Order: sequence, then C-alpha cells, then structure tokens
Amino acid sequence: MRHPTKTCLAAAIAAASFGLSQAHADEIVIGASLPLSGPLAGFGSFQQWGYKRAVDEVNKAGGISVGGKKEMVKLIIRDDKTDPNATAANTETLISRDHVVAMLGSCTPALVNAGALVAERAKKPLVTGCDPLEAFKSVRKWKWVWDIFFDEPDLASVELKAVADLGAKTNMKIALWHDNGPDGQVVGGQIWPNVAKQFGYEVVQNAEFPVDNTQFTSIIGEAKSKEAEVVLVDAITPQAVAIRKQMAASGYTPKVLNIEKGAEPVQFAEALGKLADGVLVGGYWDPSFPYPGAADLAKAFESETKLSSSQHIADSYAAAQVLLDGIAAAGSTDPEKINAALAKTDKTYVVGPVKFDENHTAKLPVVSLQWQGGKTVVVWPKSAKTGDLLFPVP
Amino acid sequence: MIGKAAAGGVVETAVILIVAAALWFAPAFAGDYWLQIGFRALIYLSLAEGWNLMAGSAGLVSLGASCFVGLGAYVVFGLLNKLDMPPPLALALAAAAGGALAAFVSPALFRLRGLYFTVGTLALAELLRLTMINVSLFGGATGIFLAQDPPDLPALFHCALVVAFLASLAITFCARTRASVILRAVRDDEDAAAQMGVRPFRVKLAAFALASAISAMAGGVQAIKLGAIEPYGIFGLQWSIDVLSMAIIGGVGLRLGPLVGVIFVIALGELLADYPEAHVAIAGVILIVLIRFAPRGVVGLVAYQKLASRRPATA
Repeated sequence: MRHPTKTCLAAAIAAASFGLSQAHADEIVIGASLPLSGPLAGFGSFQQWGYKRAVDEVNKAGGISVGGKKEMVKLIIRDDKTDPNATAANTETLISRDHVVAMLGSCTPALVNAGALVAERAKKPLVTGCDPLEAFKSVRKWKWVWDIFFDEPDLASVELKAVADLGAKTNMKIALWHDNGPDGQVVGGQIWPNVAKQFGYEVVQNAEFPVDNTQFTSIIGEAKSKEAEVVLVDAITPQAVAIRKQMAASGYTPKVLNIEKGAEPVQFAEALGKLADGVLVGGYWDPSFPYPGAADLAKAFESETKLSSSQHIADSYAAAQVLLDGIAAAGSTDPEKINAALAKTDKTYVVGPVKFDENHTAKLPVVSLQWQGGKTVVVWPKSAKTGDLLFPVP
Repeated sequence: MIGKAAAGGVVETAVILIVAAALWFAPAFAGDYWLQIGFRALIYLSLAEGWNLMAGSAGLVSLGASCFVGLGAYVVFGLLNKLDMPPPLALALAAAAGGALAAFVSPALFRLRGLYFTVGTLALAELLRLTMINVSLFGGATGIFLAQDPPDLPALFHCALVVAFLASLAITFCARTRASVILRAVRDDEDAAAQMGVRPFRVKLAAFALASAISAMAGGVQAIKLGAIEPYGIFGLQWSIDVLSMAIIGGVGLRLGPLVGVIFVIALGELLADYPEAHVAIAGVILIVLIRFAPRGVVGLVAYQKLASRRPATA
C-alpha cells in the first residue's frame, strides 16, 4: 500500500513538472497575475477573457513585428487567489522565471498595487485597468505602470448629475453608506459629502462599515427614520446584495438608490431578481458605446461563454491592446522602448480614447447605468442613453 | 539522554551554520528566480519553525501566525517611515513587539486549552486585522506604503536568511536542551508537569513569545519586500493556513518537518502555477492523498519506512 502511494505522488509531481513553461526564442512573452479564485474570482474571469482575446487576435493576424521579424505573443496567466502577497510573488516569478517583456495588471487597488510595485522595481512595463485612478495615483509617481480606468470623482458625481438632469424630484435628504476599503473611503468618505452639498442635498447620514460587514439593519433604520429619499452606497457585491435585501426586509425603499462597485456585475442582479430593478450604478462601458468593436466584444463574450458580459471584459481587452500596440510601436522587446512607446499611446480603443497623462493614467468617461429587468441600461447622459430612468425605485 | 541530545545539538548547530554560510553566497551564482523562491522559502521556514515549536513541542496549536506577521509588518513600516530607522534595528524591534504582544495576551489565551486555544489565536488575529482596518492612524483598509525604495533582491534574501538562521538556532536550542523535555512534559500533560515542579504558564509563554517574535520579524522582512501593506493581505488567514499546512505536511513535532513541508508546498505551488484554472484542485487532491497516507508528514513517513526496513534484520 505504501509503494502505490509514493508512486502516485511521484507521478503527480512529475506530471505537473511537465507543465513548466519554456518560452521559445521567437515568442514575445507577456504575463498577468489575476484573481481567478477567492472573493474577486468573478472579476478575474472577465479579465482573463479580455486579455486572452486581445492576444489571440494579434496572433491570428500573424503576431507582432520585432526587429523586422513577426513573432507570436505568449500570454502567461497566474492565479493570485485574491491575495496581494500572491500577486507580488506571481509578478516576481513572471519576471524572473518566465522572462516576460511586459505585464498586464490584476484587479482592485490592493492587488494591482502589489504587482505594480514589483514591476516598477524590476523596470518592466505593466498596463492595467480595474484600478480607480485616484487610488492608483496615491501610491507613488509611476514610471513603468499605466492605468486605464475611471476617476473616482467622476464616478462619485455621475448619479447625482443624472438625477438632477433627468428632473427626478426628491425631498433632497441623502444618506451615504460606504465601506472602509480604499475606494470606499475616498468615494463615500470624502467625495460624496462634498458633491451632495454642491447639488443642494442635506446629508442626513454618513455611515461607514467594514468591507466584510453583513448586518446593516441599524444603518438602514437610521436612514429610514431620517426620511432619506436618496441613498448612495459603496460596497462590494456580497454586501451590496445583503444591503438591498435588508432594505426590503425593513420596508425601506428610497426614491433613488445608487450602489457603486457591488451593483456592477451581473451576479448582483442574479442574486436579487426584481429587487435589483431601479438600482443605479456608475459605468464606464456598455456595448452600445460608439467605439470600435464595442458591440462585437460583448457578443463574442456572450456567445463564447454563454454568460452576460461585464464592463471588465472591455477594460482588460483595451489594456491588453494598448500593451500589444506599445510592443508593436516599439518594434522591440526592450522594456525601455516598450515603455516609451506606451507613453505615446493616442488611439481610440473599445473603451474610448486612450491617452496617458503625466501620472500615467488614462481616464474613461462614465455614464449612469440602471438595472431594469435583469439588464443594465444607460440612462444618462442623454447622448448615450439606451433607456429611460425608472423613477422612483419600485 | 540529555547529554546525547546536547551532542546532537552541537552537530545540528554546526550544520545550520554551514548551510547558512553557504546560502549567504547564493546571490553570487543563483538567478533572480531562485533567489525569489529562496526568499519565500526562508520566510515560510521561519514561520513554520516557530509554529512547529508551539504545536509540536508545547502543544499550542495556533491559527494566529497572521496576527504576528501583520504586527511585524506594521511595526517595521512605522519605524522606517516615521523614524527612518535602519532596517535591522526596525526588524529587531518588530521581534520585540511580537514577543511583547504574546506576553500581553498570554494570561487570557492560556486560560484556554486545546481547540479553545486555537480559536483564541484565530480571534486575536481577527481582532488585530479589524483594528488596523478601522483605525485610520494605521492607514485603514488602504494600508501603508513604504516611503523609501526597498533594498535589492540579494539584500532581502540576506535579511530572510538571517531571520531563518536565528529561528533555526533558537528552535535547535529548544529541541536539543533540557527545554525540550520540559516543553514535551507540558504538551503531554500540563497538570502532571505542574505536579513535577514545572511551571506550565512560563514554559508556554516562552514558546509562544519566541514563535511570535520570529513571526513578527519574518512579517517585517516580507513587508519590506512588498513595499506596500494593507490589512486584508498582511493579516490574511492564508498565512496561518499556509504555515499550518507546511508543518503538517512536513511532520508536526519533527525537527526536519518544517523544512520539508516548506520545500514541498512551494515546489508544488511552482509546478502547478502554469495551470491557473486547475491548480487549487490539483494541489488539494495531492495534499489529501498525502495526509491520508502520511498522517505524520513526509518526514514521519520516511522515518517509518526506514524503521520498517530495519525490522527484519533486527528480529
């Protein structure tokens, strides 16, 4: 009995060892560490699809010309298990073992920062989406890392702008609920109170809670007692679902309900059914956007995966395209030349125009989305709208 | 018996010294990849040595490694950012902070025994994590960034090597001196040991404080390498789970257990890293098979097989 055990173990390890990746000399190797397991696995799967699609398209077109010779692109993806320590370790391994020439980022500030700091020290270019720009800029003055995403102040103000512009009447009493995560503190703790005052609202409640909080009845009860007709929430998806359910259980339905971050993925609407209807969420991409390939990207994702598309397929696809274009423009796998080419990026991608500023950020325009019948529709700005605002929340 | 153990301790110390001296020159010939792997292995070895001392020798099964890793990280960042202190001094103070926290909480924790102690350490880790998240002085959920650029990889490797070296020496002292007998007496029957004149509280405190100091120092080195820490990652339960699984896979209470466990888990992780969709499942199956057929760990299995192969000759 002991011998078969040892044999099994040896076979398993030997089998695994065959997987050790060996880059060919005529390949351009890029890599990414993504949250494919753990709490952010939902985001990671969308990003993985976006990155792979961009690389596949380039390879189908014959690869990238480097030194006058066309070379295929190899994308190595590692799972960071939603752990910043693992992101850093993966990024180190991508650089030191797999000899990547450049990298793509993970998702959320904590994970992106962990990998980006390693890339910065190793002087390897890294292009990322999925990291709000203020959080990205607050880390350091970047030299090798580039971020394409929305700016928190834009996202934080979009819903109140939409409500004002669309003429939705409320008693102007607003409640702000936000988690104490990096963007929760920025959006809910700093930006929302100021924006609310600018729009003439009376802030009757500003409640902060831990990111993994599960009990919201006291916060809901306070907002209800203070008759807030507008509620802005910043929370991740499990908490966003819990908040909406507990609001319904408490018999509290404000006229305007905006849930940033957590209401973004389709899992939010799937978990809530009709309760999701009327919930507003800021968005930076929709298949209806008039950018090249936007509609086709969503169709391709849905036909390949049989899942509803997410904004994250667009920012990850665009980030990969930007990096691949940078390598092509550099005509070299030299990290310095690729980095210099990235700095000159000025092109319209599936998410819109991308041009990096002095902080290495490219800002995506934001719109107001609303869940209606299990799907999001763009309700503001009027120039981009695909449906009318459902008001008040049913 | 003790005399023989002490002689073994001298040999063991010599071996540790020689290996550490040899590894000191690793940056001269090893590539970056092997230095990265080596760094990770040395950090985990330090943590697993401390855990093995507590669980294997003193019977204190802890799920609180993350608590002291995180504490060390925050202390080191605070000292480097606010006081611009030299890293070695900051690491020494982080170790002192780890030991001091262990001493501070031990009167409450040692009232709990067995599984209750384990849950108590888990609660301590969670308490510290939530404190860091909710107190803006410590950077809140955003965490803290290292103001200065971290040292280069060879220097970080040397830091990790020194921590692992100190940890191994300390554990060798505990395993090869009279302390070993006292620790095992407390582990096997605390009340009986007390009847024999051993003071269980002091013995457990010594093991707990030593392991905590080691963990805090290792956490400090890891934090310097990361350059940025936030409470969800640096106080993450994953640290405790990793350390526990490494010690169990290698062999709890066995001198070589942590080393073998660390090598096994890191090698497995690297070999399966190219299968991001399947690696968690494959690693899980391999670990289940290993634990099922080698309940005393890899070192225990090898030792048992050696013993079994000698049996016919001695019969």
